[in-house]
Amino acid sequence: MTHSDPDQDTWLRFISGDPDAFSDLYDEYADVLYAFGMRYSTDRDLVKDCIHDLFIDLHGYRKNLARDANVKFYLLKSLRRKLHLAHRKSSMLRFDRWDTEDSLAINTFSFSIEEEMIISEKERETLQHLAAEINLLPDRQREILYLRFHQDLDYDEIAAMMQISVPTCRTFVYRALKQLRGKLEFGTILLIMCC
Amino acid sequence: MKRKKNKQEPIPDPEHLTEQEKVAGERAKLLFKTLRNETFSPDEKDALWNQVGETISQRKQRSFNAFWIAAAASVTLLLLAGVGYLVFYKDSARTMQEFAARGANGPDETQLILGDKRVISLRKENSSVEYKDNGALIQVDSSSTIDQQVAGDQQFNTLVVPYGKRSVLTLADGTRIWLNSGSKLVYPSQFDIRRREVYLEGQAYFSVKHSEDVPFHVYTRDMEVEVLGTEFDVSAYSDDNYTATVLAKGSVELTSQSQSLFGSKKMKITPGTRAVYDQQRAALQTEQVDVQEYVSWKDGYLVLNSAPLTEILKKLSRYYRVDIILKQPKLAGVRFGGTLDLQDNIRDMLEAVSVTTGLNYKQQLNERRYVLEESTIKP
Repeated sequence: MTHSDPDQDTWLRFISGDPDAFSDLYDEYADVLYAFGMRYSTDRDLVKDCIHDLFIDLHGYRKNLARDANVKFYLLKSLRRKLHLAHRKSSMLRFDRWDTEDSLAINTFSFSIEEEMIISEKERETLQHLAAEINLLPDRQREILYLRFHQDLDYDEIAAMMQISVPTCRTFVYRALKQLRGKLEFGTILLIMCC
Repeated sequence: MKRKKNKQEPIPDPEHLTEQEKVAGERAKLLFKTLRNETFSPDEKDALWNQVGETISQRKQRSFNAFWIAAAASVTLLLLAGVGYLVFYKDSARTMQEFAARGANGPDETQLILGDKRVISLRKENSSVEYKDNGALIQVDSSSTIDQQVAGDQQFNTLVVPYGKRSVLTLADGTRIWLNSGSKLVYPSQFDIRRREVYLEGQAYFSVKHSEDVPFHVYTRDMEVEVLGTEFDVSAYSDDNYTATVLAKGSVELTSQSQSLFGSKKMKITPGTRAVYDQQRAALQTEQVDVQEYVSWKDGYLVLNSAPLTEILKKLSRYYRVDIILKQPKLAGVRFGGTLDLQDNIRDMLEAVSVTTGLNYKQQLNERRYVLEESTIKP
């Protein structure tokens, strides 16, 4: 497979030791990584620390990195793992929470329907309703929806990131959509075509 | 790792989903496009990058040290076995000059090199470095701070500003130094109690904090400037065949460091004077000038009274890190006046130059190279 997109080019230059490429890589992805990290934590410094460690690792291990990696996916996955480790470490010190599950949950979403979309009043209401419902879904289902619809990852990637099987991943999305449908009253069949 | 194969895939297992579920999926997709993301400011982004760079250079330093400690130990043994009697005395000017020669040449980013060889990259076009707490604390771009050891042996810091960048340095004694593009300044991490000394390559504007008892020395390849507290500009680019000082306020004492048979020459100058040391003639000469013309670069504009075109283009190519080629050499000495705003980008700048000089400019395939030539269509 040949990839000629510029990101891949930066990645290859980085692996072969080009210091400019390292800086380019940071410029390109730091903001994306920060936004992604802040989905899981509210601690800005923790997120920055994890990004810092991620780039230190990248620099240290660059000779061993896969040349055909999907760069964005690889970085997101690595950052998520770092956030989880940091979270586990800090929750191990909190004895009051022994019994609770110690996985790092994704924060609730804040959508900006108002500013960004030109839609009918009725559609807007529906979307607002849907937004509220999404925030009521179980953490992992919300996370999958986020990775699928916001980060545009495919099922293989989501499964790898969340350490679940691809069929489980599909089932999660299916269940989430079923639940969302159950909570919503849709108007005419015409609306279906509008998206 | 797998590449994405099927990005357009709408929703999972379509046959299992009802129309309504599909709609829910499409809506969710639409909704997720409007998700509000947390952002961090460019300052925070730069500060984090600086930290990354610092950590990496510290780690390098650590492994480097391990090797050299072993190497040094064996060399020391050899020396002890032999007769080690050679003690080199070098004055600090010479030491600093050697540091300057050692500092990285032509980095893309402004770099601050500390005494322990840590290298901190400053990403801004106009960066700032401020020493606080007697030199122990360094604030970079007002967004991140770095600690350094100042006790013990005298150590040197180097600030390297590549072409296309500028930097403002505030030293622990309150002296401010504006470094122009393509410059290097070496200074001790903490000043001596008897004298303050720095070494410059390139161009800098100094605003020296007055101290009656602790004179401030600026060394360059060919000239030494000694002051108690004044404002002046020093230009000592290695690709220029002269070194010059322009005094804005107060008084300074100059010593040309020529290795001539007659030794060095001392001279005091007054405000509005430009002292030029010409390398070829090995002579120090003075002239009265419009100070603005030589110091305005620090405020972001270029005042030209009657400057030869080559001089103007040289300044611009340093400031913007571009090559500007003058196709007709006979135009090199033609003089122009005016004020150029250095906040403009290079294209606007060349546009302005073209209009004034009646020349045309062309950008070459190599995007950092421009050619100025006589317009073929006569008006």
